[in-house]
Amino acid sequence: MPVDWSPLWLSLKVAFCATAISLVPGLWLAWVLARRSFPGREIIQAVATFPYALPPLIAGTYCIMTLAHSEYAFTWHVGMLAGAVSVFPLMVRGSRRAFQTRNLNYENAARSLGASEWRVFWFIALPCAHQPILSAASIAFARVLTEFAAVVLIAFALTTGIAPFPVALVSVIVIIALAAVYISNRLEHEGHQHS
Amino acid sequence: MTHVRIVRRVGPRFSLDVDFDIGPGTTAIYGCYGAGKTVLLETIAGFAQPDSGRILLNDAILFDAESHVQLPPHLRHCGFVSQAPSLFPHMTVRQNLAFAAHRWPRLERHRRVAEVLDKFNLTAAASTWPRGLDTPAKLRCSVARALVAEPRLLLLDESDIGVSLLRQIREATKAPILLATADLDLCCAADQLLLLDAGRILQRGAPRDVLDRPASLEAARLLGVPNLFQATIAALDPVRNSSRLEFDHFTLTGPYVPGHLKGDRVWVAAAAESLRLQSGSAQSPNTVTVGLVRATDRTHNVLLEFSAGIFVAVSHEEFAGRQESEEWRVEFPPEALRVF
Repeated sequence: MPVDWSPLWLSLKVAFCATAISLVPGLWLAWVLARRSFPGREIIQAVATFPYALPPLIAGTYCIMTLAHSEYAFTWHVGMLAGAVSVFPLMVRGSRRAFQTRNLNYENAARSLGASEWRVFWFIALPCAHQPILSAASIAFARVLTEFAAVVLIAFALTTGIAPFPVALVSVIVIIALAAVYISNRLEHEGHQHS
Repeated sequence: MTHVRIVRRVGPRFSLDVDFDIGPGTTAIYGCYGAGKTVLLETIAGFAQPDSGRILLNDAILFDAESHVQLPPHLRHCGFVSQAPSLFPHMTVRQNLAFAAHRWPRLERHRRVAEVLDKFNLTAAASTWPRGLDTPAKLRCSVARALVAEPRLLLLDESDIGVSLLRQIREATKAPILLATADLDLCCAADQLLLLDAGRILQRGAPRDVLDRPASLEAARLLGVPNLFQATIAALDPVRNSSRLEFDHFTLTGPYVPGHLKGDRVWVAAAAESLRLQSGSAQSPNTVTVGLVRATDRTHNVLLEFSAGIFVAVSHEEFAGRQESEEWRVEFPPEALRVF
């Protein structure tokens, strides 16, 4: 029987989009938490980390409830949103640590040369910390991929009654996730060497 | 007017409390490790906020605690060259310089970068990454990058700059330079010298004046004056402007010491360069006969250490001529003695 690869493409799409969506606000929040001192910083940090303690099922259910009356209910967009929420703490924690451990001298040198905070972030902080940030993104991608793939495969089995899951499909998903974790470890290692 | 008057507490044990003018030319801040040189420069650059005070640069307020003015670093126009590596590692030398010249249009930017590359002998290394540069080239590149941005005040937190590079910098910019250093040779090349110790300014003035005439025991210790002795005032003569000072092993005539009485214990300092060696058998006044302990060869002179802890610096030629002497007599010119 030919293998249906559609769960793989869907999982990859969701994982890629969820990682990209969590990356932008995650980087911004990580930068603010790493470089700014303000009242309520610890609380914001706790709230940003909270989804890490939530089971993905709860996050997904909450997203479905939130989007229940919209056209996106019960579409892959819900999975993407749930994935983005669940890996947001990974992005924030990984990026914040990257910004904190990078040499502050580079940023201060840029400021003394007349660079605004936005320019410092975009041209100095981000390139200097790109390896740990990509490492965090890579882990986030692997996590959303495996979580969403598991949900899709179970749903697929329940609706079609076909079980066990296609071995080839599961193997490819596992290999992709393993590769993402390997890349993450390599990037983190190189990042440590540079810092 | 460029003036700095700030108080900044750093942790429970250290506070910076300074008040000084920055004149045109180079102002050197001399202090040992932990004196607060870097803290001072970083505070002026705007990387940290003082607790109180005011910083003026060409009459523009950079910081004023009373009116809550705290200009961000990128609007201060203070070029900063730090001791730690600060060349952007993901940019080539040319890109590093171009980053500093971003506020000019493209052609003007290219012209300025090319000009500075040439001035600091970096043209050949323009496409090199910072990790491929040797230490002097890295330093020249950091300085060149700071100058491309045309700062109104240049802050140099660097001991390894050297006199020749400092001269090059002064030729390249008219902005006042504030140089933090632990190198006394570099201090001599400055126009003004501040002695900083534990966050306080001990003395300020022309470098030669400060180095030759330390105003306090702390300043003498900071400058590493080797001849530092305790003495008792045996006599005071305001008419002849002199005093008689009794040390543990010898007695000398010194300058009159205002504010002290006979019998007071005082500290006496004398630079090794200001003492002289006497030859011949004629006994001159204010001389002490001593035995040579060791001779240390230095770049510009030879430092002779005698018994009783007396140090004299002589030229290599003079030392070569006296090397075989059996008896050494050291003359203490009264004007060379500083009494605290």
